[in-house]
Amino acid sequence: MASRRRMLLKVIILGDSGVGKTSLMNQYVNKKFSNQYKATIGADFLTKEVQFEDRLFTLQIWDTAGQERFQSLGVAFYRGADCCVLVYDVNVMKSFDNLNNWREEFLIQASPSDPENFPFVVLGNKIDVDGGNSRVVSEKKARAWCASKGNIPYFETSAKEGFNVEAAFQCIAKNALKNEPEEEIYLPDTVDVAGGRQQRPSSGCEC
Amino acid sequence: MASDPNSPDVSEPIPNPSPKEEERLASISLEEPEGNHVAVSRLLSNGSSLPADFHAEDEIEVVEEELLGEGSSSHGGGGWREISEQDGEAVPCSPSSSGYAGERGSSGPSSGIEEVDDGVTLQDDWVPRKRHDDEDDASVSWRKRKKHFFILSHSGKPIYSRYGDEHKLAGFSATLQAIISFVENGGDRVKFVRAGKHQVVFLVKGPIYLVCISCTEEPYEALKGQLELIYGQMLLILTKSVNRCFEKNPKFDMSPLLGGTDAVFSSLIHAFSWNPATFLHAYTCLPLAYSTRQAAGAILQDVADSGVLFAILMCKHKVVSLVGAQKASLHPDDMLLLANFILSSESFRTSESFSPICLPRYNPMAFLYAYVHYLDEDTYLTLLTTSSDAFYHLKECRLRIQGVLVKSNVLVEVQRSMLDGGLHVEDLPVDSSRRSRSVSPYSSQENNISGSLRPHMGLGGPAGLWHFIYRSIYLDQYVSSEFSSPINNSVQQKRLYRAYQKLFASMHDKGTGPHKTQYRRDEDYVLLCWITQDFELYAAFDPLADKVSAIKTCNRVCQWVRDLENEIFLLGASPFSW
Amino acid sequence: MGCSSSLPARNSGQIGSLSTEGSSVSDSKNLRVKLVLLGDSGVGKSCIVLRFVRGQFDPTSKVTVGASFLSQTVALQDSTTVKFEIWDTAGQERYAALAPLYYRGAAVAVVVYDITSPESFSKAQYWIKELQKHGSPDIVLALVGNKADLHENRSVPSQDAIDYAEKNGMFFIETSAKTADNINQLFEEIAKRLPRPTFHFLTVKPRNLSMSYIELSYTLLWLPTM
Repeated sequence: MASRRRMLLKVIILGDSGVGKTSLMNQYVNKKFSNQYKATIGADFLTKEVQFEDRLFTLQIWDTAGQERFQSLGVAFYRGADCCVLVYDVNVMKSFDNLNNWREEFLIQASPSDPENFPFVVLGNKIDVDGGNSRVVSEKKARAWCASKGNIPYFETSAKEGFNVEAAFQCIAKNALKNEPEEEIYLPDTVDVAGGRQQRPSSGCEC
Repeated sequence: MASDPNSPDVSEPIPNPSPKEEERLASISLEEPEGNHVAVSRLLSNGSSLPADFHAEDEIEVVEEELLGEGSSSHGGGGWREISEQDGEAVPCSPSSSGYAGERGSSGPSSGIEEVDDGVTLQDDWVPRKRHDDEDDASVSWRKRKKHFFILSHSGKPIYSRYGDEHKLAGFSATLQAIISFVENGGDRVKFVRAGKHQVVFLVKGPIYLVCISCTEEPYEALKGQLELIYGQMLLILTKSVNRCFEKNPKFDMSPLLGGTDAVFSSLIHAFSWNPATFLHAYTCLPLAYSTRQAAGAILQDVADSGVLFAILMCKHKVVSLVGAQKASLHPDDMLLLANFILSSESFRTSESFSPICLPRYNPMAFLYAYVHYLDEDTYLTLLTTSSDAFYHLKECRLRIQGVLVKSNVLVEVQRSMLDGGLHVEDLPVDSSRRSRSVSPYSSQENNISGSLRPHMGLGGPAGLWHFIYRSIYLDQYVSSEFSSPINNSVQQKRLYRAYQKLFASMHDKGTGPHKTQYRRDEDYVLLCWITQDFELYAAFDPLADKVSAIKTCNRVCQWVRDLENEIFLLGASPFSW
Repeated sequence: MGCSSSLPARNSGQIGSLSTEGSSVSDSKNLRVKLVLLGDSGVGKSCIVLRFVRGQFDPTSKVTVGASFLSQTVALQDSTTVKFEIWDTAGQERYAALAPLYYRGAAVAVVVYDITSPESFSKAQYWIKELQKHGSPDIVLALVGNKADLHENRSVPSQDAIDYAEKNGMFFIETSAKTADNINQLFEEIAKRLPRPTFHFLTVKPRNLSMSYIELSYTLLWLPTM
């Protein structure tokens, strides 16, 4: 069998403490939900293999701690992310208000080459709580915010019931993939005859 | 233990790094909350309480494991223990960090899975084999491996793992990146962590991170040197131009660029347990009569004058002859990596080839072109050039060289030397009067034949000498005696190798060294090391050997080597200046 | 993507070419032809060459490094011989930029894919485009679907390849290096399509071979391997 190039996508999940980041990830990767809340300390990492449009790739999911005291994860932590997932709790206004901070923080730290088009996905989680009666952030409001930030895809999810989780991550993978730069040819230098000094082959089209 | 650094007879003891308080290891741990994730957790939670010296850039930290039950009862604290050997039973259901555990059944039985290549084979029988691709960090077998090597990118994307599938280890790779990144964020660098039996060594090379996790008790400097060589091997395949890919695109996924090179890395890592060149930074020659090597050198020189940068004739890992163009010098590490690359890539044996290759010590930024051709089963010619269209010229050069080598019987002599082996401690001349006559089995054909029939039994050489390595500092070459009884199986050979490695590290310790002599005794050997301006001698004796006669014997070994230098070393090669 | 392939051969420090005398012909009776194999890694390029040159098949996969050089001479019925000087290139991604080094000056390019791998078929198309852009203008192109013995796992329909080959004016064949199916036929067919200076009755040296020319159809006599 010919080699199949597999891609690896780094996905970072951000959002306030308790909005259900870890639960979403668990539901997606392990199809499990636990009612017990355990604060993530620092970060958790999960791996999931996904098939998409006939290609196999691996999501490397970086689940971060939402508590403020862990927020200074540093530049290196965000470096090279392919997609950033912003999560809030539809029942907690503050968690929605903070989306902006999380997004800004990410853009500052990761400093992606094209911040305008960096792929974000927003998830409004816990829509199952109290049959939706305790909800304080309307879907309309959330969608408006997403639209204002360059049409960020938006999903309403329930990690507990597994609602929309698969669809959300499919979209995450798709967006991360879309943002991949054109497959570039690896172009190393060659040594010139004088020895020791290298030169880069000119990449201009001379034909 | 085979190589206990605290054995009583060490006259110049290896500085034994005093174990520091347990608290700091507690600050870096891998945990498994809910049994599902690999996490860097207390790394961050306890970060503020890190002792200041943890970050000391130039200090090797040794920290003791004290993870379990250290205030993390709710998490069941895996810590580094999750990769420690004894943990197989403790983690029976091998919780997966990647959600694959159920699908694979890769977790082997908790007994009997050890580092496979350890002490099982001699280098000659060793065939580069596929790694255990079905494993990941959730597999018991994976956790039990004694020595892991990882390459990852600065964004935490996996590039290479000695064992297991890189993609399945993406979570683990991210954990390693997070540890490096966390320390880096504090304006510092993590170099070394000890966790129980395991040492974790980090090496950061720009956007490339290299990590070794080992419970082999090798010195830090040795493990770091191994990471350096792995990095060098990567450069040999790709050049440092990969850095540009990361500059342009931090997301760059480098692993596809190393496609098909598993065998190259496996074979290099295997060399870390048998090939002294990996820590001596010197190469070794195939013993040959002076005139034979001269004949080979002359024709190589002829070719080098016609625009070839380096012409190298080797037999397996040993140099037959080697010639460089004017002012070009070849570092022994480059030779090691080049030989490893060629010997581990089967396709070179099939037909002549012309391939881009980078010599990291010569010029890490750029490719040279290597014409490689096997002249017989073991002997291969490598012609390096800077010119990408030199193939037909090099092909002609090879035909010429081959013609001369056949006509002057060099290839036959090479094969004979391969069969006869090198120096045998049993042949060490007993007294100086015998020195005058040639003791070399290579100087004449008759000697050769009788030499090869000589029975190698008994208990080593005079005064209980079992083995030695002599390294000529000026020549950047070493000669190692053949293994003979009682170092006659691979387990013992590897143990001796590790003892030498430790001896080398302690002699060259920057903190306390360099030292001139060292004499140590443990239940396995008496080890003697002697370093002068000209040479380094490492010798192993029977543990009951007498110190005075051992020292005398070392003197005789040096004299012997000097008497034979025309045959065991490559002399008068182009100046090696590095 | 394509720009990198137009590396100038200004001096020897640059990527040059590995053609012998720049021409594929040494004299009127003895043709010397530079042939390059390109394609994704693992599609069986080396296996095809080793089957053709040595009549061997080694099922253990040996990853090619850089490029291997082999040659094989075939005798034609009209007492001319064709010596194929074959560059079997590595399919690994890291060597992609260096491909021009091997295909420049080639009279024939054999682009190989694996009939069980659609990805290798896309890679083949990439190489064909690259060759059309930067290869010799009169290069003979062959598209080869290898591993035909694994037809039960086929995922590239023959018709797709036939259509693609037809559209690009190249010749297509499915082979199996394992069973030796169509391996000799592949090189026979290539030999038939080579521009041949001996045929002076053809008014001009054909740049693009016409069908009538190909219909001259020779039977090849295979010389034993040296």
